[in-house]
Amino acid sequence: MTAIPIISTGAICSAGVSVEASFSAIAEGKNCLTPLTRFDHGLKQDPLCGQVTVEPDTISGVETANRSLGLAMAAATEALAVVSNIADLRLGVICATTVAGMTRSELFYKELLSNPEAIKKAYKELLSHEPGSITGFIAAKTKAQGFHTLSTACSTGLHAIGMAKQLIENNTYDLCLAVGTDALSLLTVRGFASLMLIDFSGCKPFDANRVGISLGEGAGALLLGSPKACKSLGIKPLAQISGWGASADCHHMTAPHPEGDGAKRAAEAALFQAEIDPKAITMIATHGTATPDNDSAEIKAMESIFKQLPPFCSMKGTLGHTLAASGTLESVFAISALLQNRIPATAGFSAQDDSIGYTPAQPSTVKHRHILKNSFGFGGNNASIVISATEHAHE
Amino acid sequence: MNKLSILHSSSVLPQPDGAWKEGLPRAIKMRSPRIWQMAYAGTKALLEQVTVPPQSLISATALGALEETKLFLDGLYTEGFGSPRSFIASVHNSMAGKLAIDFKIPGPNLTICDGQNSFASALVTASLLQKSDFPVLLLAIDERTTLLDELTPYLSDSCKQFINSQWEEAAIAFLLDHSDRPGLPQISAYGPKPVESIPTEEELEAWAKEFHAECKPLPLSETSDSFIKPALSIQNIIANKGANNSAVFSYSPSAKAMAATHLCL
Repeated sequence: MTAIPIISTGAICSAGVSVEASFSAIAEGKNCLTPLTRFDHGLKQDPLCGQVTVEPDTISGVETANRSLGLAMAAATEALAVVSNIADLRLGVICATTVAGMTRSELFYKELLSNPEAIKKAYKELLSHEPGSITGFIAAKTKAQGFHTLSTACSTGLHAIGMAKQLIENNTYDLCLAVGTDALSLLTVRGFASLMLIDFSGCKPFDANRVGISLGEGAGALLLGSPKACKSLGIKPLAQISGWGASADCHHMTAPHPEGDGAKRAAEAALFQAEIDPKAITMIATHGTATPDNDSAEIKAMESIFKQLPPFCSMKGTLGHTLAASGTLESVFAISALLQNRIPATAGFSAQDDSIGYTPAQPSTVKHRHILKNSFGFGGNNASIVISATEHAHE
Repeated sequence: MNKLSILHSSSVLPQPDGAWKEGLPRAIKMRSPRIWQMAYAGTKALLEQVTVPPQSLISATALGALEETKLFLDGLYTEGFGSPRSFIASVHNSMAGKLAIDFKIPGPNLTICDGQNSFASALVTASLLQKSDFPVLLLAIDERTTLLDELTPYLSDSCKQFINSQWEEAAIAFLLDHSDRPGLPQISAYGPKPVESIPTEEELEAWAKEFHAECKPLPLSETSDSFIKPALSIQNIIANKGANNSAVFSYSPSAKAMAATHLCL
């Protein structure tokens, strides 16, 4: 298998509106969760969420139809800013989203219930609702030759990166932009609340007192390119995507396999494709949602692969769970960690859970070689990727 | 993309008499959202034919479980509480996740949402999987809902070509193998790709020639007039033993993009 170079990254999230502005908060484990007041959520208490506090369209300078698209364009614009003269190269766009145009659709439907005349706006609202409309818009704006839209729950972001890798490897595209995006919406906030999965005081990944997630919003973008495209653009890659693995738990719609069976198989598949020994992994950027079952199952899965667990972190105490964006956003910051040889702190963690037996790493430095990134989703859907330092691919 | 072999295919087009629900397990018939029932019925019909079970699953859907999404919002806006079941079902990947659980499909489990181009996009995605992930079950599925029926008269005239009052719902399943196996239908897809305007029949004919298609391609108004129609068109060619070499084009008005699927029987 070929390791595919990462040319550039982009991010917009609760920690900041660029990769550079956001990463220091991630590295230091700063809590960037604030009470959700942007829309009427109808809950008795404002949940703490990772919120983007600027209007995303002002970052990209592009007027967009909905917030998920606006976030995606902001991250994509940052990632693409480092390349110019790409008209001769074949560009593909892979977008991951679960919320898509729901922020707009839910307002339209509320209006429709009280005002039947609102149905006259159906044209624009229906078109904006579809996940594919987001990717089609980005593809048109970036003059891409093709695109794909993934909506595979919370593991989607990593699948988008994996697909981008494969599409370059099989020579469909020279460059591939993988974007994960999701805005906070009433449907997701109330949906996770209905499942009693929200920790209103802020999530505590891997902590003894963890009780649930904090939601977040944002977008992360990675521009991948073939070695030949990097050479023609005169670009030195940041790092490489060397492996992608995916699996299904076949267990339960909302609970992970208790022993992390599917998560283990996804991580093993990613390591196999990367052709590296697990001992070469210098950090795991976990899914780490802070639900009691998820964190426990993820550690069991990792324990079954690594004789000695590498340092690990969860970024969700800083960003919240950004759903389809989480895989790409957290990969973007894992790349920053790799480049700066740092291991980020885990915001929200304070007390060891003896039933887990491991604690997230303290913020520290390490000479990175390979980082394993995990994401899991509803339906027992698992994805892992391996991010490698350029000089260490396939060691 | 590399050509994939179609090992088996099946389709379930729900009729009002409910006969399509015969054979569904009682728990699914009683407690699952209707689109999950469609997904189960389509998958069951396919898996009854196979000897080698699927290792991975890709669902292709434009809108996912739209009716359950509406039910969740109805609950929120009228009673102040949305049902957890509806929320879980509203996730586009819920059908693929449920099928993986019910039919024990352990490998990659993905959902592709590219409007009318979802089927073509999912075929390209399938071609990216590892050989060990095959056979791949590809399920194209979308439902017709009352809300959509109410909204369609208010779409723009150009959009009504693609989402009209006669649109169909179906669950169409294909079992795909990675290898180019003699004697089996071969399928490949291209796109989706952005287009500045709706492709004309002349443009479609020019593209079809590139695939060496033996007959004039059907107009987009026939192959893309519902989200499910591109997959249904391919399934019909297979079932009716149509032209040996066919190209089916799709267009998504929401993404302003087209895709092509090429079938060799």
